[in-house]
Amino acid sequence: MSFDSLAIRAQGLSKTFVVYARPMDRLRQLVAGDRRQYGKRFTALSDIGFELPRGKVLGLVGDNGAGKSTLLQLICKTLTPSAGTLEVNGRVAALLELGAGFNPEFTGRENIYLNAAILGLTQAEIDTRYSSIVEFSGVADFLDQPVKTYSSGMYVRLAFSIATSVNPDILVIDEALSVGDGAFARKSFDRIMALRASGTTILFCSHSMYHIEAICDQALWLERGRIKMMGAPGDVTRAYGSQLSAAQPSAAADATGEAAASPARAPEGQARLLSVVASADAVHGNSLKLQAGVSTLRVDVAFQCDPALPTPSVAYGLETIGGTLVSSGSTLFDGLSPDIAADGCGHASLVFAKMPLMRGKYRMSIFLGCEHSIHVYDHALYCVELDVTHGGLEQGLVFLPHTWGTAVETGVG
Amino acid sequence: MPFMLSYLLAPLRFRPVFRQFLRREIVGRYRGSMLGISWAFIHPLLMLGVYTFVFVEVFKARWPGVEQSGGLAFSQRIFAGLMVFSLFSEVIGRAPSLIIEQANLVKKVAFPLELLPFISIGTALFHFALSAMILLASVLVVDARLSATVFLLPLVVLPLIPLLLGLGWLLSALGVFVRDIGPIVGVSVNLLMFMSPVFYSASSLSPRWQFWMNLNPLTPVIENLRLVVFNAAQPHWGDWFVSLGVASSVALFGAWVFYKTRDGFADVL
Repeated sequence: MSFDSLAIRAQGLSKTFVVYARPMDRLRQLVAGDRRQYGKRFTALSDIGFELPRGKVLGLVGDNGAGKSTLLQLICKTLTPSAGTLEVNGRVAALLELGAGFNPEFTGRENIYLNAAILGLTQAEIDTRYSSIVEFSGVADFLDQPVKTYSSGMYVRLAFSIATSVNPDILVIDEALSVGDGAFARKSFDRIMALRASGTTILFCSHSMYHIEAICDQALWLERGRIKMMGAPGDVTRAYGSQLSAAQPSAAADATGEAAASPARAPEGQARLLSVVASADAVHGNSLKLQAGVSTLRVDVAFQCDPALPTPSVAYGLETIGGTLVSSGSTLFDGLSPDIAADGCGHASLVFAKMPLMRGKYRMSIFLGCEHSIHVYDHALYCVELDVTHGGLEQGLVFLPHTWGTAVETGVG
Repeated sequence: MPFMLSYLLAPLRFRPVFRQFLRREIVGRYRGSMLGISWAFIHPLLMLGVYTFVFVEVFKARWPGVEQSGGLAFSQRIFAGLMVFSLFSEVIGRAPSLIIEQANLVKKVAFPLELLPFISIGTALFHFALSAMILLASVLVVDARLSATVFLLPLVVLPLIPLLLGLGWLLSALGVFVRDIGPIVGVSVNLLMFMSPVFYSASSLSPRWQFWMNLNPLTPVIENLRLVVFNAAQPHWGDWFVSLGVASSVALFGAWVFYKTRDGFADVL
């Protein structure tokens, strides 16, 4: 493989943090080199090697503390490797800590210029992108106020707009594929997907197995700073999922016995979507063509949760491409409770017979929520796209059940 | 050592960042004040006024060699010395906290940290330039003429730049690890004000003291500045070359220390 076609190449990459009691000890260490140790060593990553071709998407999975964020920070060059080599070819934009480079005393306008300059844009480039950054962020009315007066949502929106406006070659995302709330979450998700479609190399870590499987070309499973597995996303998420299900009941058993003694080993109350599989008229896929009033849509949702948790609920939301919510539903509100196997795996299938949508494009999202459908453990935004056609001339979104009376009534009046 | 060149060219390599930060430093200092950027002018002007009052009216001081021209000549010469000293102290006084204050830039974003001393030097040079304009204007008013040698003024100050750059890199890097550097530098800078020929002329000292005075890197700059502005004379080129040479070695040494220690910044901030 030629050098230029690689976005990232890591060989024998290691990162050791050394915790020093005093800053002065760090200086002593620099002078002494390897002859003496002045601090406590902690290895966050060891012997990581992988290659990521341009335009590919790599997903990182692993437990908290496995080294995912450290690896992302190395790629963003905010950390330097302790050993090994790391080649990063191209401009990197990071969605790690949004707004970290902001100066709170300065206005939104000034921070756009400042931050975009840090990200590597020239004055002329910023000038041409300025209006699109402002428009996307939706904070146009507040540009002349210092960003310290912004709400946290506005802060994040502005930072996201800047970070993704620099046309990065490589996008590094920690955890969330969308930022902000409501409408902006969707816009941000769409923008990340648009960058992916335009050939941006993406690296992200997520606890959403669904996202890893749906978006990535490659997945990498980190465990205690080492590569446990690397390969096709489906294989990695399955292997990771089965280890979780094997580990969690025993951890739960430990926790009941010695909860006070080792709180760190108690399982965190987690649940995640494993897969969402949609089909219409026996055709499987994420993007389906439906015939209004004829096709039957079936969505199978598999999930896994900590068996100690109350039974989670599964919910769906259906909206138009324009973002208008058409309908939604939840197992909770429909009075159902999914069965959970001993390993925490559960399943729910959702069927729409004779799909009553009218023509148009729609998107469905699946949510895995708590027993009250309030806290969302995991979600698969826009996991199914529907393209509905129908032959009639009726306009609107849905067919409402209705009847006409057309007989001429006699004897009235 | 290829990093030396890339450090020295940092403002060119990161021109947009340099520009934005320079703006932020200069404009940001007066943010929110009614007079805004005019303060950068008013401050040295007031200083010149205060020195004139204190030394001319209160102390009735006279500068050796120009006794007949009165007090204003004295305060102009002090102002010239103070201008150079302020350029030095503005950069060096802040240097130890330069990186500590920017912990976000060290840990959260990939930022060319070697640029930071350039930014504070750029800011200080801006203030220096304003002071220089005030000084030249006052000379023009008092003497009704400016000698052609004032055009050598930027050249006279030149050796100070690599010195500030080197000390900026050195002190900002060490300041991260040794927090005592801040107070040590603070006290030293205050001492240096009186050990530099700011309030007096080096030539008025005995030869023995002149020798020690000449070890002070500010001495040739201040003395040469007075020569070109007030005496219409050529600077002492010998001193100039020596100080440029010394300053350049300081710059290289500072860059080397910064390069060797920068990987440790993120570990202790």
